[in-house]
Amino acid sequence: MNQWLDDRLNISRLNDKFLRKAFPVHHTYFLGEITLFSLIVLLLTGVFLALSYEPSTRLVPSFLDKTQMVPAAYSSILRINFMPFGDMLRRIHHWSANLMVAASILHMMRIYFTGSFKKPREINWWIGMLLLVFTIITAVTGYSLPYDNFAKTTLGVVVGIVASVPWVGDWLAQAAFGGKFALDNAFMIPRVYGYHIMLLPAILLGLTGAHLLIMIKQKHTQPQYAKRIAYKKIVGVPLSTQQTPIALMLAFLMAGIVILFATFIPVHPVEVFGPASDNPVANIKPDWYLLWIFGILEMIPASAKFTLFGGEIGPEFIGGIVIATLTLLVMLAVPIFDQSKENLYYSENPTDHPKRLAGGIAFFGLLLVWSVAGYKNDFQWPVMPFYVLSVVVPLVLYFVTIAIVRGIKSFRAADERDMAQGAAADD
Amino acid sequence: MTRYMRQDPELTRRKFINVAMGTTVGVGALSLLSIVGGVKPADTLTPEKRLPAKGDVLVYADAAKNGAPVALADIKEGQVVYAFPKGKVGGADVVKNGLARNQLIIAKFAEGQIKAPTDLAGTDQGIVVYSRQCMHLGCAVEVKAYPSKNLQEAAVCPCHGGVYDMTQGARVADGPPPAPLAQIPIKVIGGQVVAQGTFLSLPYDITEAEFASQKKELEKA
Repeated sequence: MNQWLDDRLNISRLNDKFLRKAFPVHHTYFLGEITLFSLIVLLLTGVFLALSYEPSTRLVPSFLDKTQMVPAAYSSILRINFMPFGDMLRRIHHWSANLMVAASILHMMRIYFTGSFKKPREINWWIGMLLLVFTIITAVTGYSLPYDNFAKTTLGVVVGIVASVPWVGDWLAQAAFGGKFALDNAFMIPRVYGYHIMLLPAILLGLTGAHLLIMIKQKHTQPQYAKRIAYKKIVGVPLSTQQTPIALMLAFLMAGIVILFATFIPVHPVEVFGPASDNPVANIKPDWYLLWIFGILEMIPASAKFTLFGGEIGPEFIGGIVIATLTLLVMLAVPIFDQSKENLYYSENPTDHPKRLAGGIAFFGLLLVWSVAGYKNDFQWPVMPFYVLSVVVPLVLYFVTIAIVRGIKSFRAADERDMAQGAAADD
Repeated sequence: MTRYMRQDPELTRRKFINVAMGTTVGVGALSLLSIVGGVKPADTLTPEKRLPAKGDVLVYADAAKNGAPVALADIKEGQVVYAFPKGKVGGADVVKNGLARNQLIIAKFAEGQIKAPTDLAGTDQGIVVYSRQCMHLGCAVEVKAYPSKNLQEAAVCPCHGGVYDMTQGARVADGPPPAPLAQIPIKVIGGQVVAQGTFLSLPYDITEAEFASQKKELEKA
């Protein structure tokens, strides 16, 4: 069999080139894999959901109550909930999406804090950033599809943010979502559906392929222990066959945890929100990974508006697009700040680069402040403290981190001195 | 010495291919542009999406009330009623509930509580009417007390915390909305709340040009 295939497809070459790829064994090196497995679970469950979902805003008698007219998209979600494993598929899909975003953020943190984005891996950092952005866009289009009142409100806000772009926003929003936002806009849900199941997954798969091929070409950075075992040699287990069972175990463990979550914790219960309507949803919040943008939108004051060359620039554009874009640009620019000429082989110990470590922690602190600002409205907090915290929290985190790292360093140095003295005394 | 001198062709192979490919890409990009230009559907202004107009009677937004005109007895201080304008469009009676901006808040305040910049001529018996759609990103606002700004009855947006003071022309009291809620002038006629015109300021999700042209159409009718 192998011989037969080899004669025709030359698989031994594939084997040498790809399947023997060495994977370093270290627990932080599995975060990217978890992201990939979540994507696979999302594609599989997504196919089954697409088979029963009806992307339409047309009013039909509700699946549960034939006297009530609801959008067909909403009714089809109610029907999916009543299919065998239907609700379960929805929950697994939703939880996997959350896991995919979480795992990719953790994966990115690992790359950042260990300096793995340095030359020659800058391109993969940028592709990874694009993957994160598109993952989040895919997630938002996904939770807009049930067209319950929560989804409708989310969509309204997204359309509003797109429409707030000066000069072209109105055209852009109408082109992207098929006309003005309205409950009965017949184009809107089919458009979002098209993006969610075709355009965005295609982009995600393409970028994932590029991400992996570049990773294989450039090889992983090696964990620090590899330096001690065999300097400048690649230490790890080959994909075929040693890494495969490890990855499979991880995939099954992950799937198991997701299924447990899905079993016991319902997500996005559409019946609670009811079908799309003109009524408000109390205490509406986006998913956790967008809470920071939500917080910025709450913080930008009404007075932040001006006209530039005939285009209206208002608080919704500044809060929803400008600051978020600047934040992402800072993340994209990370490899540019690095000046090293040498190729990086070994993942660095974060405490050896205290400024980078402290900068990263300050950055996440800032995002956390903005996320908390998302709850400003619920508690009627004034806005001023959040401006102060946006400056103070990152600064404090930065200097505290540097101080802690210095402390660790001096302990380590003292330790080494003691050891040396001890060794000298033994002699 | 070769017998045949190699003559330079007028057009090298490379140049020909580059020009041919360039033309193909150019034409392709142009056709793609025309397709992208076509994805925005034409605006269709159905009767129920028209602006409120003079003479429109405000009817309950609550579907259970079946479009009955709002009763004056229901409009009390400290308690608002949500409504849609109902009026003649092309000879037929239409409840204009096709867009969120047409959902209106009917609020009543005690004598002398409503102050400028509210259009006082557009209020009657302490009743003032605003669009329910937040000017920030278009969510429907809720009416509740907002003690931190000393407002007994404020329009509060659940999305990003826009707060409007309904006694002062729905001025923005807190949060990000770039403009006040759009007011509708009303009069109480024969126990019904009747609109005396369309929105006094630009409501949500409509450009100035569209607003002007739709207003002109209303005046013609």
